Amino acid sequence: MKKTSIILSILLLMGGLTLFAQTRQVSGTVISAEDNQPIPGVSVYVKGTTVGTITNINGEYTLDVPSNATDLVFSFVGMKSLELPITGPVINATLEPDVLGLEEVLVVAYGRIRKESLTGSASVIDSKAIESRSLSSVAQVLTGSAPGVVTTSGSGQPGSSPDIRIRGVGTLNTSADPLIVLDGAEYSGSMSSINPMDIESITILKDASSTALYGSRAANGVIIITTKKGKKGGEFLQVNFKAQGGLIDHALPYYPSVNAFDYYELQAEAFAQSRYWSGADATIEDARAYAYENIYSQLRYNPFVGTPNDEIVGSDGKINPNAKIGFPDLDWYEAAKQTGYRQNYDLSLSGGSSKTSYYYSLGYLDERGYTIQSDFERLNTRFNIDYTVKDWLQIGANIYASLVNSDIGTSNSATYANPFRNARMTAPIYPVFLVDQATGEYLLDGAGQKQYDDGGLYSRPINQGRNAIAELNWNSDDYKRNNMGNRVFATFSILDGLSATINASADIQNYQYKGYENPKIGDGAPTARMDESRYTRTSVNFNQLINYEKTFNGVHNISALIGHESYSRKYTYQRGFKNQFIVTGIYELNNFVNTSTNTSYTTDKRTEGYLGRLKYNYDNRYYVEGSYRRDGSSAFHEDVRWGNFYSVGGSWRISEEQFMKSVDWVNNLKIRASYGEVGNDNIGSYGYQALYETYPNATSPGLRWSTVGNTALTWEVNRTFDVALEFSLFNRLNGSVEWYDRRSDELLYEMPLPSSMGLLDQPRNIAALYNRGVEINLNGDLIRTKEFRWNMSLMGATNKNEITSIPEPFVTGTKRWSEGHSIYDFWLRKYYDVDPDDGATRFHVWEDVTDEEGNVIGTRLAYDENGDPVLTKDQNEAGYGYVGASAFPDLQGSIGNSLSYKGFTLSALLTYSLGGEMLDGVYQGMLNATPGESFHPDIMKSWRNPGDVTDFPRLQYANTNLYATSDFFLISSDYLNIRSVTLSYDIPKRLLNDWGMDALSVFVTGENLYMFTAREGMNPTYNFSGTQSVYAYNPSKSIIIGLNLQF
Amino acid sequence: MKAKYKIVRFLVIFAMILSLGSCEKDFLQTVPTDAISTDIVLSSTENMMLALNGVHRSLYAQNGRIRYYAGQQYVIPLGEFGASDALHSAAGNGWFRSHIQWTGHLNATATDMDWLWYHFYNIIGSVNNIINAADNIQMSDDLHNILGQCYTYRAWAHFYLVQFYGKPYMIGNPATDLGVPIMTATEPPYEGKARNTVQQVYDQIKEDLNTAITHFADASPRADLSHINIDVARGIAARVYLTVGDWANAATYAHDARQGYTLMNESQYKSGFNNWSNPEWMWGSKMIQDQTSYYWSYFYYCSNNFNGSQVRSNPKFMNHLLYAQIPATDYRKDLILPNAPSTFDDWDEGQNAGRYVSEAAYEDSVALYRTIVNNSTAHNMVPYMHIKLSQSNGPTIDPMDVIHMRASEMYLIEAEALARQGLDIQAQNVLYELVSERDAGYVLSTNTGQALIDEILLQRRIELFLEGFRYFDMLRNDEELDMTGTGADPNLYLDGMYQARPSVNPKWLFSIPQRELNANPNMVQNVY
Repeated sequence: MKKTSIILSILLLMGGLTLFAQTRQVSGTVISAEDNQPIPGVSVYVKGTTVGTITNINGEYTLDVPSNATDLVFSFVGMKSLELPITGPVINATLEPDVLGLEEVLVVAYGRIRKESLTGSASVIDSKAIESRSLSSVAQVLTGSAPGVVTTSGSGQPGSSPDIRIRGVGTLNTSADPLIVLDGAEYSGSMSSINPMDIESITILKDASSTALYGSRAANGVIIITTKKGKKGGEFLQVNFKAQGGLIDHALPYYPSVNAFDYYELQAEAFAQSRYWSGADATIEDARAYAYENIYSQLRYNPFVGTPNDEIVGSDGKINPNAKIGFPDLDWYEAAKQTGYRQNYDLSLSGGSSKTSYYYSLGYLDERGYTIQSDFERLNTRFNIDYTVKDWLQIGANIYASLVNSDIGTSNSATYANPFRNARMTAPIYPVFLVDQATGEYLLDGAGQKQYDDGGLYSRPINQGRNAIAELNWNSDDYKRNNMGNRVFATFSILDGLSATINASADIQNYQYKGYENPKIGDGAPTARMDESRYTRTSVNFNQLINYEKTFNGVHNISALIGHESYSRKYTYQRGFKNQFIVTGIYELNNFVNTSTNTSYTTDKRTEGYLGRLKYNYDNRYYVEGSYRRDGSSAFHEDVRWGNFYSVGGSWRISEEQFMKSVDWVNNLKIRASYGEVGNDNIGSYGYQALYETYPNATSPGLRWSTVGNTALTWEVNRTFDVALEFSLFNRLNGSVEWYDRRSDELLYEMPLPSSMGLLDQPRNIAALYNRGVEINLNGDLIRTKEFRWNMSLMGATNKNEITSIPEPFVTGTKRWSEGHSIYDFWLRKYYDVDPDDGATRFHVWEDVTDEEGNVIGTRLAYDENGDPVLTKDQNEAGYGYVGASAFPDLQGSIGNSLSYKGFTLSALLTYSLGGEMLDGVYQGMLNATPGESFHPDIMKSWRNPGDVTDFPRLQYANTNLYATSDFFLISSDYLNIRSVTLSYDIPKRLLNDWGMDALSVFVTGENLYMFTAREGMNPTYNFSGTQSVYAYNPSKSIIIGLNLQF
Repeated sequence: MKAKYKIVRFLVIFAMILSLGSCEKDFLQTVPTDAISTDIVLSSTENMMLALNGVHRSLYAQNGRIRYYAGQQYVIPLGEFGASDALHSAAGNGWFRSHIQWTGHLNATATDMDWLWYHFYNIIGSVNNIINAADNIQMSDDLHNILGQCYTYRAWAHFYLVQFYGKPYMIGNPATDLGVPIMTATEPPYEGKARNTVQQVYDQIKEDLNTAITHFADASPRADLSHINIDVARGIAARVYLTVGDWANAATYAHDARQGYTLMNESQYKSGFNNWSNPEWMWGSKMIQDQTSYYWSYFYYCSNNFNGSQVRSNPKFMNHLLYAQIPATDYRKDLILPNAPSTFDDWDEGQNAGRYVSEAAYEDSVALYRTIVNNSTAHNMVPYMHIKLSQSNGPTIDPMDVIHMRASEMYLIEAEALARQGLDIQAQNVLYELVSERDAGYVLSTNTGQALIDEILLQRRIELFLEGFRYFDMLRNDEELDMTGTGADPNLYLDGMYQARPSVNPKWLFSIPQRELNANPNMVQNVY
């Protein structure tokens, strides 16, 4: 390792050998061909060098150029760059708009390149796309932004970020999140801590060629976030102010449930069947007669005030025709509702002089969810400075801080206090507040206040002793998260084309959680309790890079990079948990007497790598590129700690060939291909070590057997082949068609052990799989006139996921992993029908399939000698098998439209998914008959009497066979989501100049406005594996208005 | 110009030196701060004792790996709910409802069934680590002590497993009935073993107990009651031999085990079974405040004054038929409250009908019983509720000690084993020693033969009520479950109202968890 550093040093010292030549001065003005207005901020540099400047507010520049310089290059975002020969001291330029985006400059791994020279696969989201949305977490902007990038919907909890997957799922481990790189260093904080307004661009790197330099961390793709900078050049100052605000509500409807009248009838039937089948009554007629009269004894609440308890359901099984609902507050969704809103203000100052540029921002976001005790508040600031100290030395720093304060009373994990679970499961006969059953009037406390009903007084059969609304209101659950970070770099220009850069970064995240549980209702009763946890995560990243770029003979372009990087992430956690409060109203541990938990620990994860990249292109037509990185990780045993990762890529810009010059309708045509290997070490910090953890026995010291370790545990490897055709045609249509084959091997997994081993799992490299697919991206101006432009983009991506090798197939939840199947192929019981004779669910039995040696290799549906299906009514005999459904969709993508007329722009983004299936456990829960739990309206189709032919079995309590998990609960996960719609108006510049402003726009924008799905209430984007959660905070939609001002 | 490049050189070299900092060989060698390596733990007697203390803790601590089930605090209720004597009065908040309805233990995918299997095998694996590493360590009194405890734990855990998952020894064909895998090591490739026969499992249990008792002969004394000593090992042996019908051994081991422990007196018996400083406790766990098991406590499921919704919404009561068989002079009868009011019913309806002259009289009764039960106004009450297990300081969530073995059980085992050998006189005497302490009116039994055995078994139900034995006793004695007349609500108990006896009804066996079936190709499920 020392050797490498010495070589690096020698290379750097070569810089000492050259001298600079004489210079002369050139100046001029740059204007736009569109409106003949000067363009500030255009970068002007001497071709083939880094000597350059930018234009000032009047579009003017002055530059000292070497005497041997021949050409100047003018480039600006959104404009085609222009090369002009240096013919004299004044060079003026007129730039044409780059409607096809061919000349975009991308931030890529350890550098920036022009899109045309890319040999890998990358997508960019620019600041314009981000600024036009109103979001609390920038991760939401990734939804539908690039083919092959899919996200979950995210929770409706303000400030939550969706999960992101790039090109399928290439790992078995729980986290397949891409690597986030923020301004050059790995970022492990929350995406929602970053102010979207600070972002200049987001680059999504998808293939090995573009990610290989991140080596061990790149297996799930890389997202590079680059923040805004000021511009060097002439005197330049810009102030931006954006204000927005609006309303938030739930995006998806709630699952429907039957009303109180139907509910009583259905429960009476369930009670009757339960008595009949448990033998309490000899005939169903007796059972019904009893159940109709006594159903109140099961449900314990009679909302039909005035109707006697034994006459709620008549002898015909129908609700008493005189029954009228006399209880208030039966809607638990409504009880948890508040008016959600968001307000958001952003101010930024950016500017520069000839040697310095800076950017400063201040942002404030205040969001309140549509459910009580959910909110999010964020204060952001950022300061970027870039300073040219000498012509050979450039230093920059980038400092940020964010303060987040959030209430998470509705967090997905809380059980009884979760308002969504509570509202989904509670039958519409139970009031939120205590009422007198005889009158329906509130039972007031001594102070004349309504009292929350904890179910104790009338013995409510569900959630007794609890009341989610009371617990939300009386408890407090909130966290504070402070992020601070610093990026600093120094670049030394050593000789023409050779430079060395040192980057250092530190990110610190401090997190503090406070949870208070009240002494009246819930787990905090009777003494109240207080839970406080804190952690600090410190990530430190160093790298040293040497870059070399040179053009020989005008056609041979070479660039090389070598470097070294080290990364360390330390996480220190502390938690205190006490009960028995002293006085009310003080939410500090000091105010509690008994300590239940007081614990702390630290984890430390480190990686180190050596990297190199070589690029060559001939005449901007033929490009080849190779990358290599050697990485070591502290997550593996020293014998297997180091891994080698690499990529090769090439592209051919056909359109640059001489023979294409005459084909003027082809603006760009490029073929590219790449192959490479990247790694993944995401399996905790100490998985390879066999450990005992501290575990005292009362006051005696003790240790607990914790892990068996695995010294052979090593890198998960991802090998990706990628080939693409990129094109731009007719000066108005561009797009790409891309095919990838992403093979993952040595997959890391916490392998479930038979629990008879005494431990539940062991980290292993267990399997191989591939993700393969086609990505299509089309973007074009359907109409483009002087005043009206209609731009449309279509994205679509397929992904086929298949396990290619796994030593022992195994079952994980509702999926089974075995060769030839995807990781999300459902493995379930097979529903057959409902027996018309007794209303029991019949499952088609799966029988074992064995190989020659008698080993069970799978299952198939069993048939008897007559060819009839073998059926069972016992869930334990039904077995499991592949039911031919997968949570992976066939096609996913987005449709974007943007219409602009004069200053008006209307844009809309739709996302869609086709061909996947999901298992709806919430629906399943609403079919199961339990006293007090709500029913889905489908339950009305239940079997009742012999001879009934229906898909829904008889209603009966505590019979787990009837609605045992099976393919009956599978449903299409297809959706079409109106993701965002924005209408904005730019006030004409001529008006603004009179007001002293540069730009002013007003807008109204809606996010997540509607989703078309196969079943009302379900959320196909809850996760990637196709299941639902009864705890999920239904995603939110927002309608926001705002203005954006620049002067 | 020259000077400038000197600066460059200097800076670059400086930067490169900085970069060398990360090249230290141990940069990538990190270790956790809350755990230590297995090699170190198993390399010395002192550290093995620490590992053994972890096993003691697992008998009562929230495990945190499969939810938060807290060791024997969940196993004890599983030995009662679903059996005939300790009954639920209401649907409550759901805990153990599926077990009283006889669907819980038949659900292979239920989380608590997952955990139950893991709980015992985790203990087996933990002690196997110590047993298998001890060969390399110099023998000493302390190591004898550790090994004696480890072999006892291994036997004890296998014994629980074979009772839950295998057909009872005395009513099946143990040579062919499937028991559970015998585990003596956890080592690669961690594939999972097939089920041994019930006979093989019991043979291993007996062998381990013999080994343990041999080690204890030379062992240093135990540190406290949470540790196992020779008495506990003998007590477990007594349970095992009683279960396999080896009456002579059962009687001998039970007799030897109880020596040195005095029976509780009346005030100790009525103090709530919540403190290990009780002369009768042979083996128990001390719970301290910062190791509390919250709402996973045994007292949350079983007591009637823990301040949790399970207790408040679903008071537990005694089988009315059993209560009727307790003589009036027996102070154990005081722990059952047949005249407690039902707070589930209006003052003049349901179980309260005809009992109170006025609503005020009912309210007075409620107030009175609140002081007897020592509960809060949010707690429900029902007739026949018990106050045997209780929170020592009223309606709190404070952790209470957990009992694993006490001397009375040894008297009962000894008496039963003697009676079953036809040694009626000796059996009557042993029974008298115990029952005369509980019942001032008790006279030496004149029963012989089956009548004497039945008397002893009745005493067992009364004495060990709610201590986790009933389900296993019904198994080994092949008793049917018939809840008629017990006070159980048929609408709540459903399938739990009646079950044919174990010899003809395979539903008495617990289902092997699906997690094990999924990961172990050699595993087969019980056949129902």
